[in-house]
Amino acid sequence: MQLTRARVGIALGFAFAVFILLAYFAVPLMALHSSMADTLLRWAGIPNAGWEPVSVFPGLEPGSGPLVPVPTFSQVSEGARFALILGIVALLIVARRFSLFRNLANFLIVLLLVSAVVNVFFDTFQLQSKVFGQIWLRQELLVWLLMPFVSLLLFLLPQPNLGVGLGWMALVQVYGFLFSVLRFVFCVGMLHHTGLLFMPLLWFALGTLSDLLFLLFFYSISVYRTSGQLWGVRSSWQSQL
Amino acid sequence: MAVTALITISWLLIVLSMLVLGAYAVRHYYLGYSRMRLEHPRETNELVGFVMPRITVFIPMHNEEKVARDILQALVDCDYDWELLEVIPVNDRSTDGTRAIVDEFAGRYPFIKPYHRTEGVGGKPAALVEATELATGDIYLMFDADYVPGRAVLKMLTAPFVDPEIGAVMGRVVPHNIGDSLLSGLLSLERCAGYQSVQQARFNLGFTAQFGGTVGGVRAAALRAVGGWNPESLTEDTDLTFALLLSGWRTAYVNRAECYEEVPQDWAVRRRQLSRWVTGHTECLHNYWPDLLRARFLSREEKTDALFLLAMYLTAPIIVIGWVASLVLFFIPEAHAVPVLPVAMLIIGYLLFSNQATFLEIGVATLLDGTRLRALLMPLSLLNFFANTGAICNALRKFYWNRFWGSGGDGWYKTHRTRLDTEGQAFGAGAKPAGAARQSVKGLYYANNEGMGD
Repeated sequence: MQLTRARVGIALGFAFAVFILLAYFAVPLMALHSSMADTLLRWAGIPNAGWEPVSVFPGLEPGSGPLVPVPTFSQVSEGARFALILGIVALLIVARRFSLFRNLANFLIVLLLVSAVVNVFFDTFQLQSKVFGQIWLRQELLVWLLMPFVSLLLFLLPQPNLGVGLGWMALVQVYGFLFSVLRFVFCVGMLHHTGLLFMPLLWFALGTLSDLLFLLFFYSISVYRTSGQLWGVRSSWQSQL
Repeated sequence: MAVTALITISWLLIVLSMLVLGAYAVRHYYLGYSRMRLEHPRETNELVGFVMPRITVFIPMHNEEKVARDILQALVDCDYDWELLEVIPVNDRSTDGTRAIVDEFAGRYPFIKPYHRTEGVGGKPAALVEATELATGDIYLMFDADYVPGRAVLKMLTAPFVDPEIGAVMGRVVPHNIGDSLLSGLLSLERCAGYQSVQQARFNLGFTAQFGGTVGGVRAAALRAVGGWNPESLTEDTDLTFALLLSGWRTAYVNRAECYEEVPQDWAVRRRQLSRWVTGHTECLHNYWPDLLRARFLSREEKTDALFLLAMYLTAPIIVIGWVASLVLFFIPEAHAVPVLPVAMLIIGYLLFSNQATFLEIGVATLLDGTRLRALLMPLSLLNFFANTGAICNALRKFYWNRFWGSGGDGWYKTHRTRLDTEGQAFGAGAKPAGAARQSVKGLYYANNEGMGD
């Protein structure tokens, strides 16, 4: 396989085209995101008084954020507080038993502890679900807009078949959108039931980290499959190293 | 007022993180893309056999009875002319059967000339300094004792020295214990990207490859020109790479000169290995950055690449600083009104994996190697990333603390071997009682388990 200028140019053109399409349809996309999230919130039985417009980025707005009741620390149930302690203990056990997980577990513990401290000492501090929706959309919209260029390098260029590369690109883009809805609903649900207690951890674990993880998951499968397809022509690659 | 100041400081720290890590990400992707395009291929294998200089092969050893026989036999089996070959096993105060094995081979093959050290400072650099005085070759090659070189490796590593500008050569290290643990599997990904993608791309693009101190060689004249090995450095290989570069010598990389090694299988061993690399590498950064910037014969691109290489471990604390700043902003409602938080989180999250080797570099290396199953491990590299980040930050904290207070840092550690049930033993333990934990040598402290090896 050779990466000719023409091939790179075509792939770059596709990435730009997808980027422009996404930017052009950003508002309807965010509306679809909110609409799907609304359905899932209703199915999950989480009370939502509606959706209010929020600013996202200049020129790419408005989006909308849900109006879900969020308890302060003093209003949070005993179960939620117990879950926080249980979470810390579980992470401590993981950190103790699995050395490779230790630093990650320690970092998550720090996030939970910081959250607990802020909750205890600043009971009035509250993250409204609408604001959370705004932060989420800003983050995810950026991911969706940047994804074509990441896909260009990870999926389009290494594929021997440009069509297959485009398929991967589309799959990743659609999956990223749907996965975002699921994670958002889960976070809003947690916000409704446990207030701010778990939000830093969830924000860290289910935010961009999850986007990266699924991207990497798809990339590893793509490389696995491509490597198999290229095996026959691999000698021609290596002869030019 | 305080909140505004906090937001401003967090902002600045995030911008710093984004700039530094963004620059590294661009570099990683450029190298990965260059490798994917097979740009400017530089291949020295066509020079194999063109010239056969007299070579000396050093094998630093300390209590290597389980592996010594393998490497000596492998070198005997190499297709290099025995008349032009000299092998010096540097037996550094071994207390096991290493000496007997080495002497047995020396009795059978006249080109094996052992050097037994019984006293002096421990550690690979110090041992090499002494052993080098005995060498008669024009080229010095080095292998760690647990490595198993293939038949053609000596010729492959010698070939690039046809070019008089080449001062050192580096071959490719390939882990052989990939399936022994999750960590060794993840480290194999890291090595794969590091050699197949990064080293080869940098060499192809005209940057100096990094000499790794094993599976590599140095021209005797070049070594003398830069004053020999630096016994005070924990990473004498990196030190030599930059000493050579600043004296006008280049380091070549030979991707096909593969040699198999054993990577750490548990995190404690890996952490100590990483700690030594971080300390030595950062020390080199402080020693060489002013001269690098001043060097007139290096292009701007070469200087930039060299600085990126030397400063690479500093990215770990910068990532942590970015996370902390993001966390601070998360708890400040005023900060939610501006899009700095998601942008910062996105960039920092995006760079989560790009500290050691980006996905692209790993993927391209996997494609070029044709090792498809290994690619499926990629998502788990997150664990390795977090583990590395913590260990690097800790090592840097110790390094700068010791530097600030003028005290010594960690010394040489012999990486624990697991092949053939080898038990790691305290390097130099026979030379001093176990209770004598520290021995000051030229500003460095050598702990009980100081040693040589990868």
